[in-house]
Amino acid sequence: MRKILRDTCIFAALMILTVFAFSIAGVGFTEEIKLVFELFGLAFILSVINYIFDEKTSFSIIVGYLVKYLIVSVVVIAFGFIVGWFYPSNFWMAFIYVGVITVIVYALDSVKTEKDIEEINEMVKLNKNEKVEFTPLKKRKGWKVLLVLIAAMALLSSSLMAVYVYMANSATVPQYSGYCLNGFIISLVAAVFLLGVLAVYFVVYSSRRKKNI
Amino acid sequence: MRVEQRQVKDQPLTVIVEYPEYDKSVDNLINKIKNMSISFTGKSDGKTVSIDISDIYYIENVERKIFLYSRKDVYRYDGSMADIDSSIGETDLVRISRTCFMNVSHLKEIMQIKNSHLEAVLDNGEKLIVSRKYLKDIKKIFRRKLL
Repeated sequence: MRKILRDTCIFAALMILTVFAFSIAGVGFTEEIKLVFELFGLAFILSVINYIFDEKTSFSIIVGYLVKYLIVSVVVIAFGFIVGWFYPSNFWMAFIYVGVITVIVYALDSVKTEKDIEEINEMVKLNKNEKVEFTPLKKRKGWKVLLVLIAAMALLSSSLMAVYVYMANSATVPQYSGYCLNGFIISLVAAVFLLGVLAVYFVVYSSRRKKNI
Repeated sequence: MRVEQRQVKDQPLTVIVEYPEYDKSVDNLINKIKNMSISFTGKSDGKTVSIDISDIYYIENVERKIFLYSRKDVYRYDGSMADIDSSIGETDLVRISRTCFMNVSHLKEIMQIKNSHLEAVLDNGEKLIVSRKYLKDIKKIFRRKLL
């Protein structure tokens, strides 16, 4: 499934690049086409940074993600200022956008790492013809990490909503109140997505527990 | 599986594998036999010793010096990490971080320690830090071994 999803993303990216590249000849270098190429450019820069970071550093998961979050936020803000996405009034949104994506990637990575460790430990026991013991929910970390991150996203989205409502009700509505609404929607979507991941986590856990009983 | 052995004087040790059909189990067996002949040359107390790959627990690069660790002894290796990488092939040695290779046949368990680093515990009690990106390589070796 993962391979299909990855291939779908690569294929979609190639199609978008090809279609937009041909569109330049027809309609010229429009704002939309420019945005697509800028996004691909940023994605390439971030991928290079991510690769170098993973190759050269050996931080723990949490510290690694915190450092990555700071580096990526700075790069996105700098890139955003260069291409004209951000202005002094809205650049702080980058911290929310990058933060939400970092939280989702960190959550998925934590769950995957836990699954990998469990799988390896099971294989070690099988290889030595020892009895495989099933790890109970109490000793697992993945769902706890997910719960904390869901709470963080819920807190972020409700704070942004509160700020938005406060701004909307004030005498002079600030120009950037819309950014708060965007942030609210993004963090809410992230919270819902993480809830979905948590549900899948419990489904997989209970099915594996049944198999081991 | 039938096992036959015979002495043939003045010839090197030779293993002949006969099979009705070449399948995964035959491939596995041949790999195991091939891996038995892989060894590393290490130095300890001025003596040069050949260490069988199965006796190596882990290999570590400490300040650009490479050391081979067996259950109790440590040997200095003159080659580079790249040399080791290219010679381990389908053995039980796997890279677990930028500076360390581990022999998975001596692995007891992997656990996530408090600062969310990953730690491999070997059956002699040694503990090694594992980088997350190499977990898939460890799994690959076990999948091959359990075929």
